[in-house]
Amino acid sequence: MTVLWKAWSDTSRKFYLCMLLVTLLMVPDAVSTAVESARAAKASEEVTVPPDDPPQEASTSGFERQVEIWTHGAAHSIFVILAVVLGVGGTMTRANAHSNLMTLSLPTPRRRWLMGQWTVATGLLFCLCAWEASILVVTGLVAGLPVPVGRLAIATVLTSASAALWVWPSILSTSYTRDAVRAALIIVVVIVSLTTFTTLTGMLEWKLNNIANVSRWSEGIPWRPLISGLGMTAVCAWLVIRRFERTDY
Amino acid sequence: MNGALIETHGLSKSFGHVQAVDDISWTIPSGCIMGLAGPNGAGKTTAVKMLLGMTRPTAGTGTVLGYDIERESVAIRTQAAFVPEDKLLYDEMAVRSFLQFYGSFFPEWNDQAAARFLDAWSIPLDRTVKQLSKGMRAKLVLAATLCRKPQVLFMDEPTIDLDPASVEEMLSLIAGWVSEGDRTVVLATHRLDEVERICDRVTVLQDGREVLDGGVDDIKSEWKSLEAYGQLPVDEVRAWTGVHSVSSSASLATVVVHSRAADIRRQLEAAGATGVETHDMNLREIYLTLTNHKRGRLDGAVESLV
Repeated sequence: MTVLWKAWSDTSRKFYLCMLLVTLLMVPDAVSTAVESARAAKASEEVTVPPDDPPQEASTSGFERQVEIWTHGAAHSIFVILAVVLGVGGTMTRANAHSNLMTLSLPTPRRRWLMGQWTVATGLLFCLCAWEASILVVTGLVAGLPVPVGRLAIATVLTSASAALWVWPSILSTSYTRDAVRAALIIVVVIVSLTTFTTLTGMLEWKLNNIANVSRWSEGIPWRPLISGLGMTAVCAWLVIRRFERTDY
Repeated sequence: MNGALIETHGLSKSFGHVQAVDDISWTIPSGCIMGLAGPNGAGKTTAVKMLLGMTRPTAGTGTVLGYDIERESVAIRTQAAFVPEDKLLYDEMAVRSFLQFYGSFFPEWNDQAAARFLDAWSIPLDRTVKQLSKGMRAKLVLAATLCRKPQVLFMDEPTIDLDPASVEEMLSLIAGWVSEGDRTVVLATHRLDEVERICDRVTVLQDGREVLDGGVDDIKSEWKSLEAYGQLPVDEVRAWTGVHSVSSSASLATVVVHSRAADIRRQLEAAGATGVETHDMNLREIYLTLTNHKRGRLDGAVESLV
């Protein structure tokens, strides 16, 4: 638990910033949906409105669009970036070098510090996804619209899981650069390059955002992105743990 | 375990072409305070880190409390504490949080003792580590390491940030702590007066190699400085058994010996020296002799500043 607490204290500021970012991205749409819905409700009280009234339809379709973005893996890219932000840094950065001697003199295997960092980053990523889903649920409830809670819950798990595949690569990148910003930039370049490559070569089935797409799972398990993503993260985890354990401090 | 809490055989570490530690072999028994001295970059900290399993040796073996330093480093760190030279800890943590965090790793952690130390040293629990003075941080680290009840304590320049009164207090604390049980301390320091005061044994490293190792009292009783007048065969004297170095100016020769002082005095007198006087040497003088300290080597640099 103490290892997790240390990882949390290293990550908490970044988490709050990410939470603020997610909120800022979601709130304008949520407010607009709620306002549109209220306006439609008021209009329907004043005049007799046919069931297919355009304003009500507009707010419904706006909310549906948000739910679609969320459940079809389109939000995946944002959470990949957040996974990188939460994954970089920690014990291996130069900024923490001054306290490393104390940390590493504690009776804990080095791999446990990294596992703690990964666990906390992944957990916080899930929290961010859950936060976004919660905002959608609240928006739907406030606007009086039907909320597909089940689909949103599945999307939360899938989006956080698919984005979490980038946490170990981010930690690995930090082990080389020993600087959080440079590590994040390197991983973003890798992500953009991979995305461009898969798009240009028509290997769309391999894209990791397929994992976050709830509808995609109804067609069957997306084996290609799943195996490639898990393979990538496992190799990165092995490399960084081996590297950390062999580093002299 | 055969009474030795720390044992090394030919322990070495190189970083590329730099030989940081070269072939050190120690047997440090329980109840011993060992001073580890040497110039900056001599390999003191690297040696300590190897013993804690934080740096892997390139050659040699070692055990601490019977545990292998390469394979069982976690077990070593459970019972051996480290006070690093750089006492910058987790800056953003409050002192209370730091103690909770640190103490949670050790089942033997003594909360009451920690509170007493902090109270005695007036270290406020609610301040962040960053807000403490360097001296307070040093005291906080020492308090934390002692309250976890280690058997071996590695200290790297523990008194560097302390005022003279606090240094005295800390040295007494360390000496008292060792005398209370089956414990040992390795004290890496530049302050030879501290080594002389509390250490039973001293090792001097230079360029990673041991240039002096032995009991403090034994060393001080064996190392002497002989001052002799007259024209002496300097090169011949240098070759005598027990002579460490000879320096001469005009008609005065200073012969530093590491053993056989009485015999060498007789040899000097037989060689024509007059007015031979034997002087005791303190550890600082022995250290400066061993590390080839050259007086006046900065004269040129100082002149160029004028």
